[in-house]
Amino acid sequence: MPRPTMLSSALKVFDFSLGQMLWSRRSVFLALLVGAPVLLAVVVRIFAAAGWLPVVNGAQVAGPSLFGVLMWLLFVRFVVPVLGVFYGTSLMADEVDDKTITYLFTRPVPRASVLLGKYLAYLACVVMLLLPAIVIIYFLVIPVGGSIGQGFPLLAADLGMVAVGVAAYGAVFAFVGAWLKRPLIVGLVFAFGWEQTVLLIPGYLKRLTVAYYLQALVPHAMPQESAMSMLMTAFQDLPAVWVSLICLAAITLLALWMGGKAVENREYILEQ
Amino acid sequence: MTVKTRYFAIVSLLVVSIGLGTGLVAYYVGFPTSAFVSSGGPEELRYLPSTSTVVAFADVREVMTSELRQRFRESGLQSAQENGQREFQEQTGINIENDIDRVVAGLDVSSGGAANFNGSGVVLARGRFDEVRIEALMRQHGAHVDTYKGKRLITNEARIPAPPSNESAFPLRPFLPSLHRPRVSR
Repeated sequence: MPRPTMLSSALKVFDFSLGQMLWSRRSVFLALLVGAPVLLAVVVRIFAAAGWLPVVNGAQVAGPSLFGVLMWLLFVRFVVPVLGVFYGTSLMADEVDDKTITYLFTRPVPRASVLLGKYLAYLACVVMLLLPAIVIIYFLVIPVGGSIGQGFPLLAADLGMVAVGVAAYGAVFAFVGAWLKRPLIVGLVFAFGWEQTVLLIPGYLKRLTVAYYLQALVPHAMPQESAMSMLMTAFQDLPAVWVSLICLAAITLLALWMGGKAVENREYILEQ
Repeated sequence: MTVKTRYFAIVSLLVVSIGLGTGLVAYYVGFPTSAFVSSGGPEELRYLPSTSTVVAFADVREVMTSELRQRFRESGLQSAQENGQREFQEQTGINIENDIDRVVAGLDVSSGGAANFNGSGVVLARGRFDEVRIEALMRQHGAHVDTYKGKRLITNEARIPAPPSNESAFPLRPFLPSLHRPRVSR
């Protein structure tokens, strides 16, 4: 009997992992994370209808600006990295913790296909929840003083940016999860320590982050809500969109390849 | 894949597809954003001809009550301007400081060409006006009364303010060709 290929094995793993992932307790956290911005958008819409929106420099806050702020502060800086950390690091770690990894590794499939299949399931699960939420937020917020038609390129760019972002972060943290024993702490330190700090420092270090390339894909201006943001804007030298796309694709593929290698070579010791 | 997961995927895909489809149609067709919320920009813009090359808007009331205006007034730089304002008020009864709320202007250079600047323009002001006084002034200058879509429209070729009655907005410089083809500019 011929050995199944990497892709067919990965698709099998994807098939059973998607349902498992979508209806797990972790998805409640994901639903809350995605539901909060939608709820916020509903509140904004109610406030706009009642005329309670704040006035800045004599003009009422417009929908496109609010949408841009929501995308930056909630999605780019928080939701996308958090989802990457929590889901990416748990792809292999959950199987180890549940002591079910043996069942997967005793199947006649390449070990790396387990990680790849689970990564694809993570991507589908997150994209299926995030993108509709962004579409709903767009249709709730943009009509407040804006035009759905005029803002459509922003929506398309945001959807693409979020999909690329969760793919890149997920791949990086899938590798971290496959490689390290305590990946969650390392993931959180990377996403909210290393990346945030390095982006404030002038120089080339920021090129060693995912956020640097992801920020170049955001079609909205960076909000100046804090001293940190102003510093970020001051030292911002964003790469071109095509450079960012190539770099994010390279990061994703490299991280997946390294993750696959880590799964192939690492000896997972299950605690008794 | 379980039935539950499949349904979830279909619903998710539908929401994104409908959203993107609606956005795409709105982008190319440009239909109104919502039945409940007006789209951006002053509503007077719809009176401007769709061929306008340059469009301008000023919230005169906001400007007049602004801190900048108060400082300008205190600086004593506006005595010459005040003379012009007084003369305008004597003739038309319009006090620019208090009576005008918003002004919208459109310039159409396509009819005359941008090089020799022979285009046409329209300036619309919204506020509180003494229509009888303005009509009397216009009639003195040879204006005549027309009816346009059930409204009285006072026009003259000398381009003196021409208020349509029962309306709080009037064209300061009537743009007759555009009024007879009232296509909206957005």
